[in-house]
Amino acid sequence: MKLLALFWIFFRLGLVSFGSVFAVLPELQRALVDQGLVTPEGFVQAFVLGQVVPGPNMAMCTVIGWHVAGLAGAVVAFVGIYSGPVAIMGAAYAVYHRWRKVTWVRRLELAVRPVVLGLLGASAVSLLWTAAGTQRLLALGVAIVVGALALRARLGALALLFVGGVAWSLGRALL
Amino acid sequence: MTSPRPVPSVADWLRVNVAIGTLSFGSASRIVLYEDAVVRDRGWVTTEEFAEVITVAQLLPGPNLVNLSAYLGYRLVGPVGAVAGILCLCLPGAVLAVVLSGVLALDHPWVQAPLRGMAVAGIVLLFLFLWRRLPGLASTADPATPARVRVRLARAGLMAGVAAAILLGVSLFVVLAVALPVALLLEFTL
Repeated sequence: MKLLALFWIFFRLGLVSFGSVFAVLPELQRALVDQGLVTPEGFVQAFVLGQVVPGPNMAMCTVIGWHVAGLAGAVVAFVGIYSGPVAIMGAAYAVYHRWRKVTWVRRLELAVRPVVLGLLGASAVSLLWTAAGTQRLLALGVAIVVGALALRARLGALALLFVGGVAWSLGRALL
Repeated sequence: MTSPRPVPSVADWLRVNVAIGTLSFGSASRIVLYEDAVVRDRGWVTTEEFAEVITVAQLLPGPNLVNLSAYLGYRLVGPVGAVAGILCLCLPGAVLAVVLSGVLALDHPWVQAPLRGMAVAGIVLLFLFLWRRLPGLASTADPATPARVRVRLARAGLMAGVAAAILLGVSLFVVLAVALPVALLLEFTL
């Protein structure tokens, strides 16, 4: 029963997780913590882990599943959160790819493009705010170093991530 | 007029997804690595098609990265390859997160410092990614004629308005309920 409840929570929220796990974070917390499946501290820890590991930050759901019901819980959470969106994208691909050359369909996509870019911009700004925490100057410094290297030295994405990690560590040690 | 673009084998597709699923440290970096891999490095899709897929991926439920990989997977290697690609993309991080939840002292400063730095670097990459998307605001249904200046300005204003509303704490659903009709109005009346 617990597994079923777990699946339902993740599947249901997967269907409204627009953009990323951030969209459903408050609702996810309510569902899991109120049903006594996870403690508030456990939830925050899982969230942090999801941000830290590579790949989608929904990895946090697998962590929660694991702590609620072991391997079965992890599998149920993983399948629950991803299955809805992946199925929907299958349908969306079938419809959109067939019609994308039709002028009005293309115009629909062009119309919506600024909205989507605005949403991405907002999430970039709020992510920066969250990542900076109380150390805004350090965050700004690291961002400038990484940005300058990206534009001037044309370093690849992975090298830039590494530079960011080293720069923050150095900054903390020196300041 | 369209030159044939290289088509990946399923193995190529899975390799790209595993690479991003294991190397995309710094949460905001993922979508950037994806574009580099499939557009710049391999040429499987054009910049313009990638921009279209981003719109579809963002508008439908699910994490952008997963939606992007699902769409491109269905398109390039079929449904089975697409699902396998999603597994390659999501499983490494999920397993790593479970393992780390058992062993890592996440509140230790020496663990936190590099992670914070990588997060900031990832966000810088996301800003650069957005910068690269801006020319897409000048596209029209006819590739030969770019949009007129007032259309571009209207689109840029809409983009800024959406970002500002979200940052001011307006709920996503309210923003979409207002912005989508406005977007259609702009496109079909200007």
